[in-house]
Amino acid sequence: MSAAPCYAGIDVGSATAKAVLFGRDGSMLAHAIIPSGGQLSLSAELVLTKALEKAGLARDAVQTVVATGYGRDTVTWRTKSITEITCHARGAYFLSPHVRSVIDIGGQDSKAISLAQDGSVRKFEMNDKCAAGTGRFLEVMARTLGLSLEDFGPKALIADTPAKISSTCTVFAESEVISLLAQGETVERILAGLCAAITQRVHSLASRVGMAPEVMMTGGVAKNIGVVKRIEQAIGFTLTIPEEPQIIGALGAALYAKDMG
Amino acid sequence: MSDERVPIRSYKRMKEIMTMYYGMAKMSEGTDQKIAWITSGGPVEILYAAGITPIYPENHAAMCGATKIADSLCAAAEERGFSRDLCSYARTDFGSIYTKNSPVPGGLPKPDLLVCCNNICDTVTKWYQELQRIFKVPLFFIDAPYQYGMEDGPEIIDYVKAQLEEMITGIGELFGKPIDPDKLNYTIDISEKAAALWREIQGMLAHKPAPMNSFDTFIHLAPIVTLRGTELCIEYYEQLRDEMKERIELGIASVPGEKYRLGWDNLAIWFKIKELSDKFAVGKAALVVSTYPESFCYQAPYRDENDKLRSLAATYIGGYINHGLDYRERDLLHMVEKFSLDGFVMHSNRSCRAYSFGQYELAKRLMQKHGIPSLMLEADMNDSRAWSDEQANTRIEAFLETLAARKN
Amino acid sequence: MAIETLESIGLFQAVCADPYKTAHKASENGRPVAGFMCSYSPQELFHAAGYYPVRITARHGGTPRADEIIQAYSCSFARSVLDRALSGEFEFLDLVVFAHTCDTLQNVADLWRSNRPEVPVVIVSGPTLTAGKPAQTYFRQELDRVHGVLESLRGKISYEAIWDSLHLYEQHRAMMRRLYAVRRARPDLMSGQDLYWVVQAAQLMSPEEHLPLLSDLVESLEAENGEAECFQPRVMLAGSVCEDSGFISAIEEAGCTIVDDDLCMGSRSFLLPEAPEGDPMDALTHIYFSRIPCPAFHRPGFDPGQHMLERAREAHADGVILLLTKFCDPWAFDYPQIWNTLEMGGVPTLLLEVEQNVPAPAQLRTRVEAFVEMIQSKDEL
Repeated sequence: MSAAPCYAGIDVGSATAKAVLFGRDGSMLAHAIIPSGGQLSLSAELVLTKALEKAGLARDAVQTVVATGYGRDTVTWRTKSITEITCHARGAYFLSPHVRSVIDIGGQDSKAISLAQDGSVRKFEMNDKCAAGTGRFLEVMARTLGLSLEDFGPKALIADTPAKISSTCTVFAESEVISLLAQGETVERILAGLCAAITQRVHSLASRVGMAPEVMMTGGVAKNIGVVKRIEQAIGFTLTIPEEPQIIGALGAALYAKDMG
Repeated sequence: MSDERVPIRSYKRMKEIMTMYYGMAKMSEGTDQKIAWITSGGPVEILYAAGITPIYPENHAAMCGATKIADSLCAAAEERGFSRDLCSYARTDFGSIYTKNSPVPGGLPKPDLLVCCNNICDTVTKWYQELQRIFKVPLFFIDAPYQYGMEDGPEIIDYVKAQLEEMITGIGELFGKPIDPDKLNYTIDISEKAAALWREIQGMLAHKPAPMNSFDTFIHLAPIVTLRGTELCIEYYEQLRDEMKERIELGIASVPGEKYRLGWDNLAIWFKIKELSDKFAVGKAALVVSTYPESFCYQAPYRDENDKLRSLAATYIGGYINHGLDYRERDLLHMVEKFSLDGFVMHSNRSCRAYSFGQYELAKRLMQKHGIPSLMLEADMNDSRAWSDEQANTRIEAFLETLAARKN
Repeated sequence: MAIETLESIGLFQAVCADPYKTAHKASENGRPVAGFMCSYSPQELFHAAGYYPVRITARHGGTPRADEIIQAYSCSFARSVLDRALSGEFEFLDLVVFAHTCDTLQNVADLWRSNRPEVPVVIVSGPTLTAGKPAQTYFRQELDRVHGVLESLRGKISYEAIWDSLHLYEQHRAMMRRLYAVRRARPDLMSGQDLYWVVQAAQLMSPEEHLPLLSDLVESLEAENGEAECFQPRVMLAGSVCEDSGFISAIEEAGCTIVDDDLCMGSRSFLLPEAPEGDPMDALTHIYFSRIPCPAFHRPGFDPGQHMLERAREAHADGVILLLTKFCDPWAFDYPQIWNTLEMGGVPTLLLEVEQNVPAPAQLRTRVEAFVEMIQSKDEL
């Protein structure tokens, strides 16, 4: 095993934990994603181990650890914690310096960030405490419909017009979905309706910070093509989707770790 | 008797008048003709006497609601940072200013001045402060203090009168043309005449069966809001009154087979007005009186023929909505008696805290003290995003079922 | 921090820990207690009538009783105070004082008096327009009416007595201004949380009890030597009612130093003009019309964004945190303008939507931390 030092960014989210490792030369060495269990600090440990395995590095190679995300403060062995807002902005700007806006829809939070030309955060908004407009919302709905999350997006694209889902509250929307099914509404139209509902929520967040191109979408929901297309329609810009949208927060954290040396 | 509902003929004329009103206002944009934006409870007589065209953002917002573009306009305002919890009329109009989207092509004509009277709520106070920041034109603010008691003291009337006087002088100075007192007195007279006609028409709904219902009055109140103080307004309401007389003579019911007579509290639900009208009609329920259209023919107990301005001030303190709960309870009871009501429908209007926050208490008093049941309908006057058809339908049906049980 | 300062803060903290204990004690000693709803109640008048003044505040917890009589789209302050009243938590009050402010509170006043008729409710129906002769004339008449109501409850209240109370309140306000001046200059001497124990206690104690403790504290703080050490961003707190100190500590734990505020409970209560000599009722009128207007009011020419920017600059604040109580319309209407003005003025602003009856949520901390990071990265450039 190599003894070259590395820098770790760990994003401890409510649904998944992500880790990104950077080498001294500024190259990304590895990343890992695991579902986060009840114990957030344990998930952080596990995801780091997994990333280190991928990179073929030992634990003591890790020079600096920056933790971010909902569970950042549970990572007792971190060097520093930085919020997911700042980390997402940093990660997105690293991938493309033309990025001026970031929309992130994670498991429990959604946020919109406006970046200045130098990549610093100009303004940000986060969803309020309820799950509307988050990955959790889509997860609950997929379960209600007996679908996998992977099928959700492509299927939602099939419908020409979305079914009207008036409630953006997860609990109410669930019962609305059930009654739409009972009325003989197609699953595709319901899915499209759910994408429209989440888009409405996220769009209002995005509008409040002001969207300017290039707009990057991050977080697990960026993998849902149904939501992506609707958001693009709503904001009027094409979204840049990184290869692995879930790790952008961890990436930003790793960059900060590298800065610290 | 046929269940076919006979439409109100005057509706066509009203649409013509309103189209003409907005068309002419729009045409005067950029000309020497001055335009004022004014709240629905504002002293419009002063504007008409000064030859200024009044525009009602509230009426405009309701039109946006009825034409179902309010949701997108609200969203446009939210994008500018206005909370989704704010009054949907204000959000609708802000959105229309930003996007120019409106049933009036190109949006409302820009104002040369603003007139705000807080006798309907203090939301308009904040709304007009923002309008002043947007348009940077003079704002005439008339403060009509909320009346916690049953009777309006002379000091309140004096206070409002003093502000009206300042407004009259101020507008005269603003455009270098003092307002002619005779013209003002005349305008006040014909405004009162229109209000009297509107009152008479609403009184006709006490007839069984009612020739028209509250959903119609919501539509037909547009001229009394926008044109009171003009001859056209009187002309229109004379026509409508005659039609109502005729309907009563011919026995034409707004709701054929009228079984229940209900009152409505709070503003209309503009985006569902037709559906709700049909829904209640199917259940043989006629809404025959509403606290909202009533406020446009409010007559203050104080009147002095020799001091028209002071009488006007007393009127602009406002009635139902600018008074406390005891006063409102008395008004509701009066309606129950005059219109032989079986119950009330209370639109708990998310947008309107001033109007809505006493409703639970009023419903409780109506039931406990007077045996009158109420239906609480949770909705919003303009923002349909919180509305659920199913929930509302179930509530309405259940309410009508309880009324049926009470009648038996 | 000096021992005296610590001890002194402890006294204020103890008052806040058991908010109405001081009022109960006054009541046991035979002094009638008046609960007031906001800083626009003319407390001097009630004090002169012999009442022990305490502020009616929200508390943590559900509002099941209030939910029966007021809709869920009312603000948490309204629901919470109403629920407390209905639950009998204010039974020790001899008088409840409302001042007319917003659409919500006007209905709460009515709901309160119809559902708790056993304690008299006095509503001071001041004008919404806080400028001009007609409004002043009207308010003066309203004050005279309230004076009359109080005399009917308590007997003769002389102008001398009102002046005595006014002078006491003025001394207290001046001392609070000194406290805030020390805070701005030396935020290292105590935490923001400590500051707000003092501020909150001022709302729960009669000025003759609070003033001596406050004077001791201010004098000991002013006597401190040395330079301010403060590495954290200096933040000014603004917004609707903020009675739950949980927000203060959450914000400071996330890395801010609160150096000033523009809160009803805080600076807005004591940044008042001096009362002109003469008729005390005229003096009270003057104060009403000259103070920073509550957003529920209308003052021609007043620009809320510009006001906030000036206050932030006076405080040398690096940023402003706006605590917006959900469903507080007056603040929500002003917020976009305030945000834009502050941004143009180069002062970053963070909006935190809060509920007065719910402790600061964990997510609030993330937002504040991100805000701190935003300010710091700005400084680094």
